[in-house]
Amino acid sequence: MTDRIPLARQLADLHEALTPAEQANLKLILGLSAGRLIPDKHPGSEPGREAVSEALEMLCPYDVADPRGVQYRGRPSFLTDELLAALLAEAGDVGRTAVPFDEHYLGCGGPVADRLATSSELTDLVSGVVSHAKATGIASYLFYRDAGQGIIPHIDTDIFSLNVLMMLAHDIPPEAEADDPSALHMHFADGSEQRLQLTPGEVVIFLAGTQAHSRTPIRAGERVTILTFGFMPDGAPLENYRR
Amino acid sequence: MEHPTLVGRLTSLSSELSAAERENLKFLLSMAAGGLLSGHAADLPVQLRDLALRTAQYSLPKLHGDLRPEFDTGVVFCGRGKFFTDDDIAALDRESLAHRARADRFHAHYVASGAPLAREMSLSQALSDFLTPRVGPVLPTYKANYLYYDEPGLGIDPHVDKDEFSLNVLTMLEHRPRERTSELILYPPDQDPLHIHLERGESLVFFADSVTHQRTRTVDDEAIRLVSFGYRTVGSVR
Repeated sequence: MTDRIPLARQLADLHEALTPAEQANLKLILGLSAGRLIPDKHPGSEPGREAVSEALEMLCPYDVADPRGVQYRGRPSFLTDELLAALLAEAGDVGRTAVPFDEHYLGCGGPVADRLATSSELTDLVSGVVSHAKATGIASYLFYRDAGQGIIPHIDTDIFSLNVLMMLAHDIPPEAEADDPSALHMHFADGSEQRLQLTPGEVVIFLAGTQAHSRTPIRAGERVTILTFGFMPDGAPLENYRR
Repeated sequence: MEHPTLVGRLTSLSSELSAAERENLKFLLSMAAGGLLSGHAADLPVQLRDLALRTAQYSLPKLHGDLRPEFDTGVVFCGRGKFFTDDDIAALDRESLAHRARADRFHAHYVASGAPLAREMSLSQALSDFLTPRVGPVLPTYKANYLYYDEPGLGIDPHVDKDEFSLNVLTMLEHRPRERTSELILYPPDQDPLHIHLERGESLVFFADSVTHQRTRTVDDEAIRLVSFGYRTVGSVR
């Protein structure tokens, strides 16, 4: 009896045969499927969740040992207290004009964040973890301020296919300390999750274009301020990397 | 309007899949369509979202090979069918009420399966005679479910049905009060959504495995009871 090729492999093979525009379309469809299937714990959803998660892993455009989960977590040496303070101050300015965006507020970068987005320090950090990733130069401040704000499980578009996520501030009201405050979660094909409670100054690098992730909702009085930087595969066709 | 080219690629892929894999691919596409219709990925440019939605919507009927060659809205019939007498509807109504206590919650509504009268009626010659000239020969799947949306906030997000409800005969038994909020909405590709409001005894016959559909949420004091019969088409004309 011949072993059948798994659906995930067939979808990945199909992706290979497509034009860049079709690839972006298929990737979006798979990402949307993953976004709805991953939080769905119904047993009937399991084959779908596995297929879409595995297909996305196969479509990972980076050469890494394991595309799942976090590729780096820590406080990089270039992120001095002074730089963190400057980014926080800039976030304060940007935050005043940030616009509601899904279940959070989005602010464009500022001079400090934009300079860091293409800096050799950040590029070196990323290339030490994931080779052949190129900075898009896009930096975005994200603000979670209103109770209930968070992000449901999702896959990022290609322009953030590699995401450098920097926690700038997380204000937790004393009464919420004992419970689980809002956290970044990674979601895996088998239905399991990894919870990442980041402290200010901590940076994570993960392959957000293929690794499903979410942020659990904040509570009343809780606030989260994040700065993200987008990276894409070096030499990737630009038409795949539009917003 | 021309179909996205990815539709053709997915159609070809589908023809090489096993039935289980095809069902899984259909599930993935329906999740994507449902996600877009529910407002996911709102940060993306509208052209990208539209293309992805149209791709999923056009691909879903094509996953069934030649069985949906002239797929348009997925609706085969909507209205009071001659296949049910008033007595039939009254009997189904009674059985629906009797089975409410044993209904299980499924996502955001309640379902009672395996009721004898409903199952027997899904096999009726009158229904088969009605369906065959419209969609070709059909095979009952022996699936007959009573559906209940009788608490505030119940409904179903956009989805397509599994193979066992490939062709769905959905009949309204009760929707109260007269002032209604919850509605069934079908999302055929490149067309305005179809808002379906069934009166007691009226049926919607549609390809539930091909057209994305949802029931919007009930509000306080609203209650809906339906009965759903599942069929598969053998060689469809629509």
